[in-house]
Amino acid sequence: MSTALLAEVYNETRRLVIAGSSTAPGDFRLKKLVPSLEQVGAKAPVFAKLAEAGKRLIDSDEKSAPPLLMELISLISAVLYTQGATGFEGEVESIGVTTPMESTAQFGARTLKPVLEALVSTGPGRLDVIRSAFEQGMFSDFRLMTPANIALDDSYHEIGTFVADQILALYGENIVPVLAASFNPKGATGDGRRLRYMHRLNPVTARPYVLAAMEESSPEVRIAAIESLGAYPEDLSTLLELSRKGAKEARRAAFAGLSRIDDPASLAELRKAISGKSLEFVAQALSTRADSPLLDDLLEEFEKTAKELFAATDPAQLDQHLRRIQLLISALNGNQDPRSNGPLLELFAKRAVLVQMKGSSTSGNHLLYDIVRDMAAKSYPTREALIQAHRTLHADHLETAFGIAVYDLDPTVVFEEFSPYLGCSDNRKGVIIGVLTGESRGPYLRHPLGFELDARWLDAVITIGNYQLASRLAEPGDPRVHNLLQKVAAREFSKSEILQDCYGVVSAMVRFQHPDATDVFMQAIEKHGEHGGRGLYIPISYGELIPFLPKSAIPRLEALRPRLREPEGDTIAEFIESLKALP
Amino acid sequence: MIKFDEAFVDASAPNAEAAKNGRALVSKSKFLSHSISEDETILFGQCQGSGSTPYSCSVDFARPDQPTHRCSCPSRQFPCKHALGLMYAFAQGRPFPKQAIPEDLLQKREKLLARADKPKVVSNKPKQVDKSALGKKIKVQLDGIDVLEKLTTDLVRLGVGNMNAKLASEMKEQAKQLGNAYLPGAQTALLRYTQLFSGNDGRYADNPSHRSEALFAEAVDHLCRLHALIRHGRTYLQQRLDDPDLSPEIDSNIAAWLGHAWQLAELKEAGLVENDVELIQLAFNSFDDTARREYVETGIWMSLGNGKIRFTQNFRPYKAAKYINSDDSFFDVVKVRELCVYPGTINPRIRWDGMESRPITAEDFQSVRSAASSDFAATVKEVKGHLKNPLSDKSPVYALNFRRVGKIGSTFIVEDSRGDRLVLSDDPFADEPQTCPLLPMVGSDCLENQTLIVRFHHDLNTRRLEAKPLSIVTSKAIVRLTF
Repeated sequence: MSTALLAEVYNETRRLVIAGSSTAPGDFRLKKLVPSLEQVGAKAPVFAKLAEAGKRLIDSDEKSAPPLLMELISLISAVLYTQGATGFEGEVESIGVTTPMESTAQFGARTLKPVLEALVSTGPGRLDVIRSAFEQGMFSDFRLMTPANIALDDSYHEIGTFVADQILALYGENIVPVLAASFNPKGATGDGRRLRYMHRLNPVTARPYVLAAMEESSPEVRIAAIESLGAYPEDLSTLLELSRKGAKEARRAAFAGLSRIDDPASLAELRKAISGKSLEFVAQALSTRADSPLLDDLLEEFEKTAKELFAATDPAQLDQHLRRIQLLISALNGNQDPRSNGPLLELFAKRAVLVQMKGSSTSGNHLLYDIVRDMAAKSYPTREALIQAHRTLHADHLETAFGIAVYDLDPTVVFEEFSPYLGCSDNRKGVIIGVLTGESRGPYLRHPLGFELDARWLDAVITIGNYQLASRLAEPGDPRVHNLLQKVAAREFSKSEILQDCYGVVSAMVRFQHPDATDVFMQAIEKHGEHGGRGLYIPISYGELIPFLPKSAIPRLEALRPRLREPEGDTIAEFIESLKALP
Repeated sequence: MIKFDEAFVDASAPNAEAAKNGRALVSKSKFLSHSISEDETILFGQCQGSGSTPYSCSVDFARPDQPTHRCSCPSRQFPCKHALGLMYAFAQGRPFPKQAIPEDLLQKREKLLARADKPKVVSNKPKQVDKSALGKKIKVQLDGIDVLEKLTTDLVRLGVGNMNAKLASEMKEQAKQLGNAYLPGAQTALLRYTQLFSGNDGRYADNPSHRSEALFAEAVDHLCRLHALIRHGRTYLQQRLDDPDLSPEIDSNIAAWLGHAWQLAELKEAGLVENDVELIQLAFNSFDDTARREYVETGIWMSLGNGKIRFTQNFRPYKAAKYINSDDSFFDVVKVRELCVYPGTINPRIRWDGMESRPITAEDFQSVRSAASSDFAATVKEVKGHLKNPLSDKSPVYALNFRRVGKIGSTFIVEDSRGDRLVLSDDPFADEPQTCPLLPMVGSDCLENQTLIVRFHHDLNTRRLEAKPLSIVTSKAIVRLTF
C-alpha cells in the first residue's frame, strides 16, 4: 500500500477541513492527486474509493461540499488508522534507573490527587497541603516526583523553597534526570533551584549545566551558576571578571567562589575588596573560612578603621565606619586563629565609649550587640572575657554572659557569681530566671537545663517563691517543692476566673509529677472548661500537658472525651492517645 | 461472619472527607457502644454527635455483597460518617461484644429482605413499552440528528482553522438543542469538539496555548466522529422508529453515543451479565470533564476469570458532586455476584450493585500476567482494526507482557520477546497525568520481563500508533503510574 500517497491525500484533505469546505470545490492540489489514486486503485479498491470521493468533492459546489469533504476525510482517516506506524529502530538503552527508592508507597487517588494539584496548580492553601503530605511521608510515592519538580517554579516563593529545601532530598539522585530534563538556563528562580540542587548533589555531573548557564542564562540561573564555580582552575578568570563588575548578587556569588580558591590572583582581588568598597561582598564569604590567608589583611584593615572610628565625630562618618567594623568582625567570625579574637576584645574593652557613638542610621550600641553575640559564639577567650565582665553588663548582655557561663564555668562558680542577681529588683533577676527555666530567647540557650547546676540554686529559688522554676529544678518528690506547689495551687484556684489563670501552677505540678497533678488538672477543667452547653473546652496548652500525666489518669480523661467541644476536641483526643501509647 | 479491612471501608466512603471523619470518630472515642449480633451479620452502635441524644447506627451484612448502612443522624451523605466510623472501629479490631439484634433493626432487616426478593418476581414479567411515546421520542431524536448535521455542516464550512472563542461559545449554546432532543451523547460529542478551542482554564480562547498541528488533527478526527454519528445514528433511530419492538443495539455502542443511559435491569435483560466475577483494578484516574460538566472517575479492571479488561466510570455532575459517592483507587480484589457489561467491543464499561473484597495474592498477579498479550504484532493488528471505526473507543487498554522497557535516544519503547517494539508516549489530549517521565523511577526490576498495562493512542499528526503506560504488573505488585 502506498502510504506516502495516503499521507499526501490526508494532508491535502485536512488542509481543506482546516481552511473550510468552501475552498474544496475545484481544489487543484487535490485534483493533482486523483490520477495517482486511480492508478493505485486499479490494484487496491480502497484507493479507487478515495479517488471517487476526491473527484466528487472537486466537482462539488459550495453547498454540497461539506458532507463530501467529511466523507473523504473520514475514509482516508479510517484507512490511516490501519496504517499507524509502530516499532522504533535503534539501539535500546536501559533507562537510567539510579538508586531504588527506600519506600515505594502507593497512595490512592483521593489522597494523592489533592497533593498533586497543590504542587502544580495555583491558589491559596497549597503550602499547608504540601507540608501535611510531607509530614505524612507521602512524598515517598514516586508519582509526586515530577509534580515536585514543577513546584520548584511555583510563583508562591515559599512553596518553591520548601520543595527545594525539604522534598528534593528525599529523592536523592533519582530526581536528577527529572531536574535536568526540565532545566532551562533562561528560566527563572525554579531553574536556579534546580541547578543548585544538582550541583550540591554531584558537582561533577552538574558541571555541564553550570557551564551552559554561564554561557547564556537568565539572571536567577546565572547567580546559581556563579555560586557553583570555584572547584576548577579555569573558573578563576571568570570569577575575577565577575567580581569586578555587574549586579550585586552576581558579585557576591563571584567573591564567594574566589574565597574558596587560594590562588595569588584571587587573594589579590580579595585584598583589594577588603580595603575598598567591595568589603560587603567578601565579608560573608570569608566568614566561613577557619584559616583564611587574608587574616593579616583583615586585622590591618580593622586597625585602620577602628582608629578612624574612634576619631570620627560626624554622624555620617560614624555610620560608615561602624558598618565597615561590623563587616570586618563578621568576616573574622569563622577564623580559628587566636589573633582573630583581637578586634572583638579590643572593641569590647572600649564598650563604654562605643555606646556613646550615635550615627545617623546606626550606633555604637547596635555594634555592641553584634560584638557580644560574636564573642559568645567565637572562642573560649572571647567567651571568658564576656563572662568576666558580667557585673558591668546591661541586662541583655548579662543574659548572654550567664547563658554561656552555665556551660563554661564550674557550677559552684556559676552559683556564686550569678545567684546574687536573684535578689535584684531590676530585670537582671528575670534574666537569670529566664535562662534557668529555658524560657530565654538568647541564641545560646537552645538546650535549656542541658547543663549541671549547683544544688543551692533550688534553695535560692524556693526562698524567692518561684514555684515554676523550683518545680523544674527539683527532683520529683522533693518535700519543699511539694509543699510550695500545694500552697500556690490553693491560692491560685481560689482567685482564678478562667482556665489560663490556673495554667501556671497546673503545668508546674504536672511536670513536677506532683501526686495531686491529675486532681488539679481535672479540677481546673471542671471548674472553668464548660461554656454555654457547647461541650467541654480544653485549650491546646492544657492538652500538651496530658502526655505528662500519670497513666492512672487515662480513665478520667477517657470519661471526658464524649464531652469535648469541637474542633479542639480532635487535638485533645490525640494527646490522650499519645498518653495511652506511652510505654 | 463479617470480615473486611479498612480498604473496604475506604471504598464504601462517599468521599475522602467522610472517610477521614469516620476514622476521627473512632480515634476520639465518640462511640458510646458498638456491638455485633450473635450470628455476626450486623454491627450496631451508639455514637455521640453534636446533639444531646446519641445517634444509632448500624451496618447490616444480611446481603454480604451489599451491606446496608443505617443511621439516625440527619446527614445526606451515604453512608454517613457514623456508619463508616462503626466499620472502621470493627476493621481496626476494637472490641465488639455480642448482643441481641435490637427489635427495630430486625424489623428493618425483614423489610429489606422482602424488598430484595420482590424485583425477582417483577423481572419475570415482560417490560411494557409505551410505543406511541417511544415513537414520539425517536422522532424528536431524529430531528435532533438533523440539527447536529446542520451544526456540523456549519463547522465544516467554516473550517477548523477559523474557529474562535465567539463561535465556540455560540456552538455551545446551539448544542443545548441536542440535549432537549434526548441526544445527550451527541451533545457531549459536539461539546468535546468546541472544548478543543478552550484554554487551560476551560474558557474558550481565540488562541488556545496548545493550538497546533496536533490540535487541528484532533479537531478533524472529532469532526469525522460527528459525521459518523450522524450517519449511524440516523440509520439506527430510523430502524427503531420503523420497528418499535426493537431493543437498543447491543452489538455496537451507538446507543451510548446517542446518550442512552443503560439501566442495570436492561443490561441483565439483554443478557449482558456475568456471574461470580473477581476483578482486580489495574489503574485508576479521576478528572474534571469540562465538556460534560462532571467529575469523572475511571477504573481499569481485569476479570481474573477471563482476563478481559473493562472499565468502571462514575460520573458526578458539578451540581450534585457533594451527594454522589466518589470512586477511588482500590487495592484489593473485588468479588461481584452479578457483573453487568455495557455494549462495546474491546474495553466495555462494567457496573455492579454489590461487592465483597479480599486481599490480592501472588496468584492474582500471575493471572494478570497470564491473560496479557505476549505478541505485540497481533495486538497491534487488533487495535488498528478497532480504531478504524470512527465511533470506537480511540484509546483501548491492553495488558502486554514485555521483555524490556528502554530508551532509544529520548524515546521510551517497550519490546516483546520477539523484538517487536512499541513507542511509549503520553497522549496530549488525554485527561490523565503524564506517566512516561515516571518510568525511570520504578526500579530496573520493573522494566524487564513484566506486564505493562497500556492505553493505545494513534497520533494523527505523526500517524503513529503509540502506547501510554498506565501500570506495571510484577509478580509481587501493581506499580501504578496514574492513580
